[in-house]
Amino acid sequence: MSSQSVRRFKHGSNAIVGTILLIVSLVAVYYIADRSSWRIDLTRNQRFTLASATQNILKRLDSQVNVTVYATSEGTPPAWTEQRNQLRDLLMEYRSLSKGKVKFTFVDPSKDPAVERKAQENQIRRQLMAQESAKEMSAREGYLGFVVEHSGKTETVGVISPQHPLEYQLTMAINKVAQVSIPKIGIITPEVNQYVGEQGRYQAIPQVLQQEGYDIQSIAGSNYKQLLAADAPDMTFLLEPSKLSDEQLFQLDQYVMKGGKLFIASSSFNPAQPGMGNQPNGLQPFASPVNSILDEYGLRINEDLVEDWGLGVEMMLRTTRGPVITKYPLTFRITDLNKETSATDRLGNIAFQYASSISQTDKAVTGTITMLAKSSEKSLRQENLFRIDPTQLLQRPKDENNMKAYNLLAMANGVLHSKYADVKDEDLPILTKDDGTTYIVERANVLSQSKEGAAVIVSGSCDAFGDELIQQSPLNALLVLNLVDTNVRHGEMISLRSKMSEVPRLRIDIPASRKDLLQWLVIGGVPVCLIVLGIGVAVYNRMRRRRLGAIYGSSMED
Amino acid sequence: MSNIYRVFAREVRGYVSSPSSYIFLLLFLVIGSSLMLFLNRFFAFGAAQLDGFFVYVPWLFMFFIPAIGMRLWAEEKKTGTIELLMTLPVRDIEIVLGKYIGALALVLVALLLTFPLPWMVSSLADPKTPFDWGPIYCAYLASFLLGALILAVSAWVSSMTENQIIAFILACSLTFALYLIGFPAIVSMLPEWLGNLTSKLSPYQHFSSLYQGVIEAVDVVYFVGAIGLFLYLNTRTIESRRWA
Repeated sequence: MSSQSVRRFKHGSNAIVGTILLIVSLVAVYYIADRSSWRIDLTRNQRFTLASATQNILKRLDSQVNVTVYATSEGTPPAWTEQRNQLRDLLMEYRSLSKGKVKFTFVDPSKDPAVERKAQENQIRRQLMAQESAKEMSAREGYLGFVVEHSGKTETVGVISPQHPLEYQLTMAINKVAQVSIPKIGIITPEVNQYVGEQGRYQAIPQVLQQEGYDIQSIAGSNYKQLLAADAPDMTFLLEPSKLSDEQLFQLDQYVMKGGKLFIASSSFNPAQPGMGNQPNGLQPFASPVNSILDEYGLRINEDLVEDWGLGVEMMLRTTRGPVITKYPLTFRITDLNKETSATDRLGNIAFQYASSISQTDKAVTGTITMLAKSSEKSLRQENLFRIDPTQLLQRPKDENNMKAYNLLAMANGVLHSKYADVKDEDLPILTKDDGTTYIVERANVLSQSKEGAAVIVSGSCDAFGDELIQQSPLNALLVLNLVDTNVRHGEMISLRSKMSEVPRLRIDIPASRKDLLQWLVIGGVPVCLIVLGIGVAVYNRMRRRRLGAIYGSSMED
Repeated sequence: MSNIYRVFAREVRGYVSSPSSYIFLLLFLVIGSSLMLFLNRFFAFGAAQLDGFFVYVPWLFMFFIPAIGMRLWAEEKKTGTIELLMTLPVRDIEIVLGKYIGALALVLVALLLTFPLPWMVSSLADPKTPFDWGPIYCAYLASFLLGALILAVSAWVSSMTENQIIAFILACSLTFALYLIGFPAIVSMLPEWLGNLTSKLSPYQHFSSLYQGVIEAVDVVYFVGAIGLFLYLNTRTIESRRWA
């Protein structure tokens, strides 16, 4: 072998061995890094870090939680594969944070008929997986859901919803089966006549709350005695109260005095008024029956109807001159939400309809009043006969001097004062016993100041929490969940929920001319500067060459 | 270190006086921002995010960076200046690093010049849902690391040939293939073990993970390691001229 060949062999083998060693050491470092949990989450909401709610729930676990994931593993579309991998990563984090209390297994129902039967027994739903290739589009059925089991209780997420973060769905399921005391929520809705097929328009709120793991207690009838029972709800929703007896008002007030949390969504006019169907104008303002107790807490629902000409929702109207798209000022978005309160902090906006304004009373209030939501600065109030017919509200008022923002959602908490503390003994209400007999409340049994934790939230619109508007604006449901969470579970789930609610949006009031200017400036601004710089450099180089040419001869100029 | 700096300064001077670097910057900026604003209909969607820009950055890089990288060595070989470089009292690794960092500076400038985009989006964002700068910084870091990796691959390919066109086509194909094997659509067609392997090998998963706003150790290690590997291969290839 020549010396050159030997040299080539030596260097060549040296290079190969060096490369192999480098690759091996890189793989080893990569393996260690892959297993390390070191990460910096730079997103504002810490979107990719487990929420404090998840961390607390996992740390509180007293015994083992088993998660069985039913997932088709082969031939799944990319989005499914991605979600399956994310779920696996998330469960690994849960296992590590819970110190092994969360155990999980992945099974594939598509491979084993016995597993498929088990999945179906557990309500895991089969779904269509669309697979698109360059040649064709095919679809087959597959599974992606999970069952959480803890101490004999199970919770099934039959289909992983792409609309909610995985962490939210998983934590909610674990919380539902593992929570020690399930908070109770009372719901008082207007009575409906089921015999004529009426279903009521407040079915979404109980559903949403139930999905979150709350125990829903429907309160009906002329007597709210459940509110004063030992197992009273932790929070109660009083939706669209039209008439309340003295007894009901007393029970509501004393519920608050006992430390209960009351959410009131009031109507601005009485829908039962004659003329509603045929003559939608000239509706009488509605005096809310709850004002008599609210006054003492420092809040009042005004007898007015707020028109928001700034953030009214667009709708199409048929007029005598043809269809017209207009902003209906009685259905509007609220973007001025209190940033200091976690319940409203990250919602972005909610929708309100037929709202009365809320004001503070001038009584010596002992509690704390927080205004949670306001209409836009371009709002007016109707104070006498209400006009709600859209065709009557086509034209924006010319005089904008009277326009201003109005409070529409408020909360009173802290030490609240009962109106029954100051009434004479003979004015105390008459209550009904279980056997139907009545009695006058004894002074000694009246609580005059609320216990710790009492809160009253007042909304000027009941429609905002009706099924129709909640369907159009899911953030209204989120507001309800946040408010319940703040009052019942110290707001721990809010951080988790807010992960899905916040998508940064552009301002809606950017003029088209500004958009055009900005986009051309962004596309063309820097390139124009570059061209100028390039020309400058070329001219400088040419002059330099000429100068050098003058010194050293013409050859430098070429 | 001073040798690396000298080679780096020579490269940068070359870029400043070369019209091709201005054309590269100009095309990158105009195409990148037009894709976001027009093709992705930024104003129509109304989201104050830069996904519409960063989603195209890898594809732009896969085309533009091999164009920078192709001339790193191929041109030196073609014009014969590599012989001069090799005779200088400088180690091969110093030449490789100096040239690489010089070209990387151009990629960095290209990225920095896109800053009017996030500035515009942040100034138009609704104050109620404020613009999130965290993911933007991460997306810039991800783009820079991806650009650095593509440049390292291109430089290595360039060191193996004299022909700039071949270097360009090879570098484009290699980076394209490397990126594509991590695509969920490709990964889902492969057996699970192979899919896991290819997704770990591809910069796609690491870029996507970084650009969402989370800096994870594994992603940084991947990019730094892969860049190091290709620079090492580049050095070995240059070195082989001495003993081949």
